[in-house]
Amino acid sequence: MIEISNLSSDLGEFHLRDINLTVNQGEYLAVLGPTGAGKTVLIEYIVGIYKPEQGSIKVNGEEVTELFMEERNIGYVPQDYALFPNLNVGRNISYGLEARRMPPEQIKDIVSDMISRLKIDYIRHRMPLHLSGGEKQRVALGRALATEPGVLLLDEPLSALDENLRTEMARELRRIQRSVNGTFIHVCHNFEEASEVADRIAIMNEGRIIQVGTLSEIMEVPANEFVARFVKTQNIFNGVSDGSCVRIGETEIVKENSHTGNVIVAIRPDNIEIVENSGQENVFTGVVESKKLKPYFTEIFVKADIPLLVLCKKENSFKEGDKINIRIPQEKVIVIKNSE
Amino acid sequence: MSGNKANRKAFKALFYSFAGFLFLYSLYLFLSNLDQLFVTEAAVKTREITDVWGDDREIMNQFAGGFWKDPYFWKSLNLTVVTTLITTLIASIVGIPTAYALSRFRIKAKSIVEILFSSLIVMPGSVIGICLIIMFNYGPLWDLQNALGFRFAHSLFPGMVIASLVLSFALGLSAWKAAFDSVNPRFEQVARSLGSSRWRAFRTVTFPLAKSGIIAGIILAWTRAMAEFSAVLFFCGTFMELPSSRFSEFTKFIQMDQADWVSVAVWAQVEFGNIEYGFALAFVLVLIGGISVYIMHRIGAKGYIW
Amino acid sequence: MKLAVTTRGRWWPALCGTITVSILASYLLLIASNWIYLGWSDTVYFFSKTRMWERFWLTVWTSTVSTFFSLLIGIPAGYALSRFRFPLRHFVASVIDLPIVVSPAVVGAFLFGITTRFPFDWISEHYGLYIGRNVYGVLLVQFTVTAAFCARLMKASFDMIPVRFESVSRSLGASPLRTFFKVVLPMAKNGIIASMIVVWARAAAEWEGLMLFVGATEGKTDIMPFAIYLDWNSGMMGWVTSMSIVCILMAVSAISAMRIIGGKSNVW
Repeated sequence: MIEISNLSSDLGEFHLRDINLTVNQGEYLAVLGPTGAGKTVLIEYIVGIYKPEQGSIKVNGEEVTELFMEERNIGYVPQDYALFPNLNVGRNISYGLEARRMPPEQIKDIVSDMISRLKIDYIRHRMPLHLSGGEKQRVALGRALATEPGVLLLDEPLSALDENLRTEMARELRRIQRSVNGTFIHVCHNFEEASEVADRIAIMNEGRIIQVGTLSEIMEVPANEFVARFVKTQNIFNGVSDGSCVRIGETEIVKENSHTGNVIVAIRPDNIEIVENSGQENVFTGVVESKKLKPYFTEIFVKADIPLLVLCKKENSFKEGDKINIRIPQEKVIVIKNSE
Repeated sequence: MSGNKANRKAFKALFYSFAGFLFLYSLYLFLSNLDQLFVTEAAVKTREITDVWGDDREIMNQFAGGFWKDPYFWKSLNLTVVTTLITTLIASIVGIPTAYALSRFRIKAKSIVEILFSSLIVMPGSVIGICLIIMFNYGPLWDLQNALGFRFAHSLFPGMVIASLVLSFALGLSAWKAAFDSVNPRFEQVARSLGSSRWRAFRTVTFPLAKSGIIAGIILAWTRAMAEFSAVLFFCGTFMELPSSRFSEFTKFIQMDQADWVSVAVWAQVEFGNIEYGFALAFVLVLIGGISVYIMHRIGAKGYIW
Repeated sequence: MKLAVTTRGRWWPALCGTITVSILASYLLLIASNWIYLGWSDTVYFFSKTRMWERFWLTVWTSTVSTFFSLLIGIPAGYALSRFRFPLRHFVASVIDLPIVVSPAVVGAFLFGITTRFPFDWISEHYGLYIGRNVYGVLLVQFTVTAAFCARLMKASFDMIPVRFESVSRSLGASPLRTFFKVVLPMAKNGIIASMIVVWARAAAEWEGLMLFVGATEGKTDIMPFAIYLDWNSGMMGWVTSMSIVCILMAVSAISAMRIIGGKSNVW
């Protein structure tokens, strides 16, 4: 378990502003944000490479802000894994245990257990230079987990892997986290990756944590336009709300909401339905402007009074130029107060 | 297409010719002087007239001054090699932690430190020698030596070690710093996050990874110590003509009495007109320098003025 | 399982820091000892003498000329050593490096031997250009040492430029020579300028070879580091210390200039 409170610091062009974050024992948190948001810097502050100007970090209830890196008991897997090239896989994994001067038999047991848990028996005596990306990743994980850290920090652990391996490794990460019941913080910039592994997601931008929540919380109630865009809600409009409906240009969408005045309206493309007949609430008629096949679905750009992106099943008979009716369910419309 | 090939060949030939010029110049510079080792009639006659070498005349008139028969040569070589090895040892013991600190720690006014050590490499040897003389022979350090009854300057130890250490350390430091700079600090951070102390992280990770660069730095420091001339000349001078009674029993026992730093000996012998002998010593130094620089090229040593 | 975390090994950074500070202090004392010895009023006195500035300008112009010639040879030679692969490459590089790795006094002895032979005897006979106990001798000593130094610095500068830029340039149809002048040289510019300054400073620091080869002629061959030796022999400590202050300032300002340009010069 780790608690970060009021962490603020400046580091050259990177700065962290008032970071508050709690990750419970056995929880998997993904920190998500664009490049330059300060995610890696946050990790480096937690590891102890830099000392924060203010704020505190507690691991398992113990204050570690003033401690040296080696006293914090935090596992760290950097982006390039940094496996010690002069030691073989087994020695890499036992490195932290040897540092703690454990009896050799105990070290052997822990390393064997870790190696079988990670399914890397076959590379035990190899040098890290000759390992594939996925193998390196497992060894780095094993090395960090062998010492049973209070929290494990993973800095973009999957970005060095190729696309197919990435999904597999993401599931693997999840499995390992469950099997050791560890507290994981996983930094990445890819929404799909985060949704694959995490219990909760923290969205970060410009050195601040903007929103923390489960996947569905973030998708359904994004804190602001940035979050809405980041979780791939493609249909985002500026509108005016009067409490019972929102007006985007000429179009009026019925939606009970608590805001009045300028608002941002976000509609996820997978929430828009295609219906046979018009006349219902929030049904608009539009022309199919273009159609794009994707692996699991089809993307249709519909030109109604407002341009909308709609996702529908792969098999459909729409052609470009067809007229279709689309329905926007009232409960799926997201209204965010426009802060500008 | 063939025109292109000819073009490429002409280009290569042009650039090869410059490197070839330097190579041949250097080769010619060193090899053409091999004939200096042979004793000429004129030299023998001059020696008869001036009678400088009195008793040793028979030996001196041999090929290369008969240097291998002369205890002065062996004592000087002994003195120089042992002193440079001590120098290199001290330079490594002190220089490797310094290089590590300069490479890893956030030091205030780091640029001043770096300018200081870099400018030492391009500072004239005579300036280093004068600085050493003034530092040790005037002011508080002089008083200290008087109180101890012990002189730094014009002594075999520590005088020669100090004189050869100044530049040897600076050169070695540049190589060791380059070696540590080339090791990603991430390794050490991970090691420390795993609970390893800073010393253990250095010993088990950074040091093994920087090892080849560190060895290169040791060779570089030793080569520079062997090539030292001015600082030793200024700070220690020559010992050849000092009476035997000026040397302690221990110095005599380790065969270092009445011996000189080899490169100083080259200068002294040529200056005294004993050219064959001087060149013989010079060729010994060229051989030693050539072998160590070849080793450095083979292991790809690195170091920079930063 | 709560693991006991070691706190041993804290002595290591402390030791490194202490050693660094004490080394730094002793080197600073070494460099500053001249000022402490000479004092301010004497410094002003010697700095106002023309003898000082005549020697200073002699040093500056000789080292500038020899740096020019070294660059002329050293840049292409460094490029060849950096890019071309040929048999006995390490041997050739080692021979080129010899003048800088053996003691400079030894190089002086060898120069003393070489200038009595072809082609130097031929040059002095046919062109009346005698290279020996005059300023040409000074230039030859400086050139011999700095050309080798320059070739090695340039090799290191070119080594830092990836070869693929040249491949791209050549794939676009540029000739090798055009590639060298339009792609390689501009990219290596910073490194070359930095190395040039270091080479200049090294040339201005060369004097050991002069002892055996050129000898002293007041106002003709007594470049500053050599003049320090000459005046020290005549016991003029005021001159010696004030001139070494100038030499130190020259070296330090050369390195500072190199840093301002932002280059990094690889010695090895």
